[in-house]
Amino acid sequence: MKGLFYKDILMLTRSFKAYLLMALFFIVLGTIRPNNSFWAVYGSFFFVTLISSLMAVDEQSRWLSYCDIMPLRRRDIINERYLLTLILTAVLNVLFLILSMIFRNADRATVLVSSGMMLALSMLASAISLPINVKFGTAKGQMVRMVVIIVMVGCGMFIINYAGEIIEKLLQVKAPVLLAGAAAAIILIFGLSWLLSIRIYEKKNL
Amino acid sequence: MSAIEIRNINKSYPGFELKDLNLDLPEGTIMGLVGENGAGKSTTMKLLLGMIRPDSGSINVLGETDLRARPQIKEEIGVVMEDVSFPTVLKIGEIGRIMAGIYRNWDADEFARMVKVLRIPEDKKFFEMSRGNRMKTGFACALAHHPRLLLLDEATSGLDPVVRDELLDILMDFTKDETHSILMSSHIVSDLEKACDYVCFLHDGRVLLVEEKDRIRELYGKLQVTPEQFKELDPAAVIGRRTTPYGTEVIVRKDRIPDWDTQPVDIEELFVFMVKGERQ
Repeated sequence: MKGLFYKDILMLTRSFKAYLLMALFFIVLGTIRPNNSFWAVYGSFFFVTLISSLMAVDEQSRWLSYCDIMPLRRRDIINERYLLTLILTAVLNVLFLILSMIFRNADRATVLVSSGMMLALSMLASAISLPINVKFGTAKGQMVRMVVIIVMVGCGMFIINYAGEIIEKLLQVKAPVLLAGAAAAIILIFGLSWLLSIRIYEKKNL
Repeated sequence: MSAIEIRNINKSYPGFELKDLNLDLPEGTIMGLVGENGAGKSTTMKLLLGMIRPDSGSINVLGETDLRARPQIKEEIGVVMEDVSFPTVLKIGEIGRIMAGIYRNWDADEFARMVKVLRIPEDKKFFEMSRGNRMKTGFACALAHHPRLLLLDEATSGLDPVVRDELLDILMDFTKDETHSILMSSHIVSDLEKACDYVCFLHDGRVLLVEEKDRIRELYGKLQVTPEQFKELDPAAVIGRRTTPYGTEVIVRKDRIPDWDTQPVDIEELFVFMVKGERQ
């Protein structure tokens, strides 16, 4: 799997240098304006889309078919993608925390909440987009992803509108339990997405 | 011992069927797969590599029966497909370093030697290379992890004669080791004629013939006959025929008509006549 990591890091630094710099720019913007975590979260999302772009480049060059002739299990290819996603997300978070400490213009709680949101949202976004890309390819996957996101946003709005008060009360009383539950749910969703992608890819005819 | 054993393999797609395929590639030999487009050559290669699963039958490659479940055996298989597919922005040195991270047996010195011998440009990105240099890159990668078996699917097609000749020399060098074997498919029958010990004709997903190349000349011959002479021939001896304004050209089994003087037949002629004979 070492070779797959090396290849993706090469591709990221070679073909997606501008994307990387823009993601960093958003993160820096997020730390300079600490009361608005939008930019940090946006940068984190931006980073996640890099994985989809990497997959698109692989499809274009037919690299994945070539992988099938090498001593790699198909699950190795999926494992590398998910691990890379986690590593990139972690790097981004660490960077965000370091920059926040340097600029010191936000309280610790706000920084931690922003960091947690970044982690949660990028894991959730990856958990949705990766199996869709594996199943449908990145071009068709884009359409499916949009539909899924619209449905999710719709569900979110519905919950906020109709259960917002209940959630708010629960948060006041049992915030740590709810946050721990949300973290566990996101980890579970990410794990299930990982297993699903392996299953899809192992059955796929390339 | 066989490097490859294929037994009663069936695989069907909409509009295509590979029917009851049986094939043995003895260790230390080169076998050429000859067939038209859609005859089943690439499907056979993909089945051997575990890229697709057969509907029925069994495959044994270097003693392993399920390459998808246990791909480690691919350390010992070098593959060059018709399209060598590396990320286009990479240079040959970077490709070598990626491969080093994938193959345990990767030999960086051997790879560097192959790059030099094949004169692959080191300063060009993969998309800037000619088709010939891309295929050479595929060959260098296939050979640099010291495989025992090479699977080549149309690996020499679209290349100029000089490059093809260089690559064929490398292949013949490879089989000097008696544990090394090659299965290669090609439209260019002259390449197979030059390199192969065995020839397998595939047509419409079926094996028409598997034979030692040298036995083909012993077994089959060509005749120029008049329509009257053609009628005298034992129909069981006739493999195929072509009628021209100047007479009839017939490919025959020599052992069925021992009294006739035949001319030698080459692999391409035999294949064309057999396929046309099938259609008739």
